[in-house]
Amino acid sequence: MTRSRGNSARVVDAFVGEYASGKTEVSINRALDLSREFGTVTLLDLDTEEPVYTVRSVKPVLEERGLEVVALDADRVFGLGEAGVTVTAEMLGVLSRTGHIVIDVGYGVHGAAALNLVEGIEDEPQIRIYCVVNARRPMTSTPELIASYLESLDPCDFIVNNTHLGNETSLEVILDGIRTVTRASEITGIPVAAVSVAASVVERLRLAERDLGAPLWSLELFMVGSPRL
Amino acid sequence: MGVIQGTQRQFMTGNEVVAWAALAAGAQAMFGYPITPQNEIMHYWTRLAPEHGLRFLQTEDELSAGFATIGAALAGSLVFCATAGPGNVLMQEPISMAEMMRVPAVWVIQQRGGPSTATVIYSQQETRLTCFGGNGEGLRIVYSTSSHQDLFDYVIKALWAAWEFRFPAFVLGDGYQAKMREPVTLYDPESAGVNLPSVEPILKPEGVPSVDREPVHLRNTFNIEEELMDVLMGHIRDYLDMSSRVVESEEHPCEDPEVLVVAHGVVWRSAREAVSVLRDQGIKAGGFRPITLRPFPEESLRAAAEKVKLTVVVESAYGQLESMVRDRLYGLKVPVRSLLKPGVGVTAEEIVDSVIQFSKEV
Repeated sequence: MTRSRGNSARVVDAFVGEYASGKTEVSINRALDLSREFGTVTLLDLDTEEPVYTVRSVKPVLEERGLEVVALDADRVFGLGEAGVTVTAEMLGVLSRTGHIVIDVGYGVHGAAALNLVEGIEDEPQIRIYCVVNARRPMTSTPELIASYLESLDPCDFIVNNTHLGNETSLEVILDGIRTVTRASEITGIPVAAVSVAASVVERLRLAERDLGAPLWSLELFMVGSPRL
Repeated sequence: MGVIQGTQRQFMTGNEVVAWAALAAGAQAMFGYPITPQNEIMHYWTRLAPEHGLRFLQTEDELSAGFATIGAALAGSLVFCATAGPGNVLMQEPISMAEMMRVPAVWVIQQRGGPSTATVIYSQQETRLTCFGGNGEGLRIVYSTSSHQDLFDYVIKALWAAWEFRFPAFVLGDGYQAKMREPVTLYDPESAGVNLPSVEPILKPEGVPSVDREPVHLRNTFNIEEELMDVLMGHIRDYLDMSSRVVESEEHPCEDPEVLVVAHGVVWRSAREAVSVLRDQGIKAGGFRPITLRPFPEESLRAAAEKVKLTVVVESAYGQLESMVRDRLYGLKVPVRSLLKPGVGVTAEEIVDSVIQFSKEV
């Protein structure tokens, strides 16, 4: 996706959204895409709520793929989920790193506020905040509900349309999702940055041949299978 | 009046499904205290609350949440509660009262590792606790779910059953089901012809006491042993009478099975897959899943186990399901073996390997 970032080439993309909307999958894939194009990319796990479906659960796999991953090591943290998740200096100081930065921010309205913990985030000129939306989840299933959810968050720059129904995702689900999210975009004035779809679905439905109204982000899935800590 | 219009296939997490199911069944109130992995039940219930006029209170602990739940039920409210792990241990005090006083309320349990704080994620180690954890006879209805569709269907059914039969009812899930994401069909129970709970004030029903009706006198305490036994035997008779209407199980049968794999809850998913793999390999395996753990489907389990040469019980606990199975199969000659993984998920491959190994041994 081409857009102007002024003179600075650095990308700082943060992903927020409703619980289980797909923030982590989209963040991971965004980081991998950027690393293929641009080299060093740091992926920050800023989810302070979820004990299971997180970047940190697949940290070793992502490091093998060349990403710098800033996340807690699950086996080095006591009482995860009960005592709360610790935020480290490394996490809060992530903007002092060189290279591109992708941030997976925790769920819901309160989770999104965790982004404010990152030092210097309010002055970061390159920050782009994407709200990930799955229109097949009840709380974000109509244009009005999506608009109302977006309004409850601090202002977002973009929407990522991650509408799907797991392994029951059909063409109808995708096209319906595009209609719904596009309407929400019109209501709020927040543009849709991309339509993100699992790679196997892109292939099965031949989505690359279609005009989806926004760039297609093909997702390699990391969160499927048995939950892991 | 249905909060859910038509049928909608949605991509959801288990905890959310619980909140939506309670809403669909007409639940009016929830009491709770935070504990992983059930917190999102409260989060979603409170998000749905303003639009639907629902009540919620986070109490100071699980003891209080359980007693508040009982109070709401006595006032004639369709109410539920949710907890996990050490919270479930604390809940046994109010639940014992609910058993004694026949209070219709529902507890959703999302099992996590035990004992004590252990892990926040998963186990099947609260099976015995949820079935028998109070200081009584376990006069409870317990449904063990294995999918999001089950969570939706059985939260509604538990609410109905609690009021229909006046025993505390439970939906026994676990942290994997709570957090997992999968498609589920939400539907309006009334339109689907599903029984809805019929609710009325228990403590202050219509009419003047001693004029229009007997005074309501709910007791959880008795002065004489024989009096206690009389009251309990009345409850037990009601429980036994109710059992045939409530008991449920599921089988993945085959002709002339030689091995029976028994599992409940989310482990059933792996067991069912393992049974298919074993059959593909020429081993005549069948699967048995108790859906109600209380009352336990003893008849159908015995009927299934009578036919086989080996029964293998699989669970994410150290013998909690196994001891129930052994108890119910007592007298049958079939050997019982088990694959026990307390606090850890069980894969289909592990079950297949175990069955093959046990088949060689017996």
